[in-house]
Amino acid sequence: MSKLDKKRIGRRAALKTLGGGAAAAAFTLGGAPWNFAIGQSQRTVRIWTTQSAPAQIKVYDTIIKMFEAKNPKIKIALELVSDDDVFPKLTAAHAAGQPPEICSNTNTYVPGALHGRGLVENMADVAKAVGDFTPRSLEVYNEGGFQFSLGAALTVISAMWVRTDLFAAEGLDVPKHWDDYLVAAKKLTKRGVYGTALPYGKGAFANRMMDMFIRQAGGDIVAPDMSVVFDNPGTHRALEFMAEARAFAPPGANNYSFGETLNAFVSGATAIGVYSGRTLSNIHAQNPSLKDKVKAAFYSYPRDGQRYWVCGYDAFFINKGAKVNTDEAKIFAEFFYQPEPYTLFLHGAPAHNLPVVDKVARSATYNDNPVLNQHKADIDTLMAIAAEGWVNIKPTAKHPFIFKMGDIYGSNIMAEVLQRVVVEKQTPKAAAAWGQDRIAEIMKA
Amino acid sequence: MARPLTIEQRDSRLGVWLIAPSVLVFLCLIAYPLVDSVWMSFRQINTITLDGHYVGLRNYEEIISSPDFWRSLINNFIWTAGALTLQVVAGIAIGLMLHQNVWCRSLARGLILFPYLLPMVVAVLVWKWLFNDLYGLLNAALVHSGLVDFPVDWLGGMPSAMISIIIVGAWKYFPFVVLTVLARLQSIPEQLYEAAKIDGAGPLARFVDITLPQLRGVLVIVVLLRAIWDFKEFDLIYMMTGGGPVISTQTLPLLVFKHAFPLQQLGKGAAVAVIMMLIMLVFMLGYLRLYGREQDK
Repeated sequence: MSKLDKKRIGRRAALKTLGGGAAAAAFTLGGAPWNFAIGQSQRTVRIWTTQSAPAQIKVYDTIIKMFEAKNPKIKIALELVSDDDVFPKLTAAHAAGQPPEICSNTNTYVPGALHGRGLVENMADVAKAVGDFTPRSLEVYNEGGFQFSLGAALTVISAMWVRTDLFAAEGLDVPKHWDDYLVAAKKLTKRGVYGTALPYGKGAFANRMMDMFIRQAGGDIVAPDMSVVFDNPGTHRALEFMAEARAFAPPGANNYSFGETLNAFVSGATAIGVYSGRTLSNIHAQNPSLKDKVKAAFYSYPRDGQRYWVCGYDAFFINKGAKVNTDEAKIFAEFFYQPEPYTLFLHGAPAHNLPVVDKVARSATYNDNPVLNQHKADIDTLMAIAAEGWVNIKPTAKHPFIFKMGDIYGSNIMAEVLQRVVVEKQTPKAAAAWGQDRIAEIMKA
Repeated sequence: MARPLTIEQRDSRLGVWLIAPSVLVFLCLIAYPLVDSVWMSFRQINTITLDGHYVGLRNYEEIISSPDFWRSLINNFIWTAGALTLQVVAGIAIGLMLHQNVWCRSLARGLILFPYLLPMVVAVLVWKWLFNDLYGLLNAALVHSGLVDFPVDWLGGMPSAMISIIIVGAWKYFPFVVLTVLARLQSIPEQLYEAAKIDGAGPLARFVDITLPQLRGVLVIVVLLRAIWDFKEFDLIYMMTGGGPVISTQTLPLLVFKHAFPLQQLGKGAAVAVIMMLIMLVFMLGYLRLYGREQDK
């Protein structure tokens, strides 16, 4: 054997050993579970939240630091998601077997859809440990004793906001009914200001407003007997109303969802807006010149229609999954609703997140907030709307829980029906018939 | 007694071991998902629970008979053709400009890559602000100049939504064409242009008779590659318009997403993805044939 051969064999042996070692390492690491049992001292609780305003992120950081200081073995990882994307993202996360531990401030239908498939934890023990939740905030998420979510806070998303200065200049009263609303919106569309901001984009906000307007006009989506009744005169009227109102909304309204609709009013571009109490906190932070010129009101409804408003106890739920650190998530959940962290959370967006824990709602610390103090009358209006308001998974007292409402909302069918009328100029009847078929497919699946 | 392996046999065996990780990666990341997707396309599966059952060709029948699918396919071709045309025209024009000996050439060559290097999320956010009806620079400039009386709804109407995403797509990806065209231009012998000038050929004639034929080979490859990449573009369109208004900018990748996640029909989503793959296979075969021809040349 020559020296060269010896070298080659030596190199070959080294390469073989290296390759074998690398393969062995790859198999070992690839096959091992992500959370190594040996030597693991900390567990992570991932939280998805839709509350991504800068002030709220700061508040979350403070709450997380407070929690981690008290619970050094639990690490909190906060992840921001948008209202429009949270449901498809959660779908993908569950399919991948990696849902986050906690989802916070999602719409009601999200935990409803997951609970319908047995994918959320029972939070009755957390509710009992915290105590003092407002009864309604627990009721909307309780099916036969299974508390499939808690309310993160009360948000009155369908409050109408009006510019009192512009209304006064035109001699207009706050419109109670749709016909007055359209007259006011038309009169107020002038000099670079648009009459109203409504969401026409293919997203969650348009779905919610459609839901509300349909019911105000006497219609329904899924009847108490679970039959699909979307194609009905109430739906046609709601579509006609929104199509008429479109003429008085900003040009880009076909793409408006939560943020755009809110910004249109807060920036002063529209005389009528629709949003929760976040309108007030955003005005104070971004356009304080308007803070004395806005007022909350019940949203207009048809003269011969029904008083109906949507509001939400934004959800706070724990996902079920093999890799979910459930115990740690429940520890965080209980901590979150304690007076100090919960007040901090509410003050992150005052008037937008209203308390669902009575002792916090009554506390001097919570009520000592400039936005809440300056707009007591508006807060009272929001609470009055909430008292009459309904959530989408249980839209009236006659309806049972409709967990498939999550799938209907998630599919954006109602928003697409609206766009067919507003953008493609289809007749409300034709668009509603299309929507009826799509919703029926979802209910059947 | 077994014969000892020869050096060549040992070398081959070592080669197999060394290539094994790449094969493993290929099998795990490409072959397995591909086979699994095809298998899923024959099943009705709920995305969240992954429960499902075999339905044969039903997913394909429902998709092909659905107007949504054909509208998405047409939108896909319109988007691909529009974005690609603009990318190539802009890419060649700017490549030619950057080939000239101007004082800021190095700086310009660096800056031209900016759109390509910018993360898609950032690019979309910037363009959405530009297109914004109330605060956008574009509408402000148009209204201020008197070209329009009211802001334009760039992303909420048709055909403005499709035009807008085509413009953004062309802006994002034209630097790739510039780079490849510039590289080829720099290898064209100067003597060809000198000889043409001596023969009295003007700039247009030199471009048509010298530059274009020289660029032809690389342009074909670039067009095919960009066509494949544009055809399967998801991020840009999803973030800009979400496929709206209605489904007027919905392309096949967005239809895959729509079925798989909001509608929770994983099997149907897989079926659309398989159909997309078959369409792109045609592009791919074209690319391989032309690439082979170029190699032979």
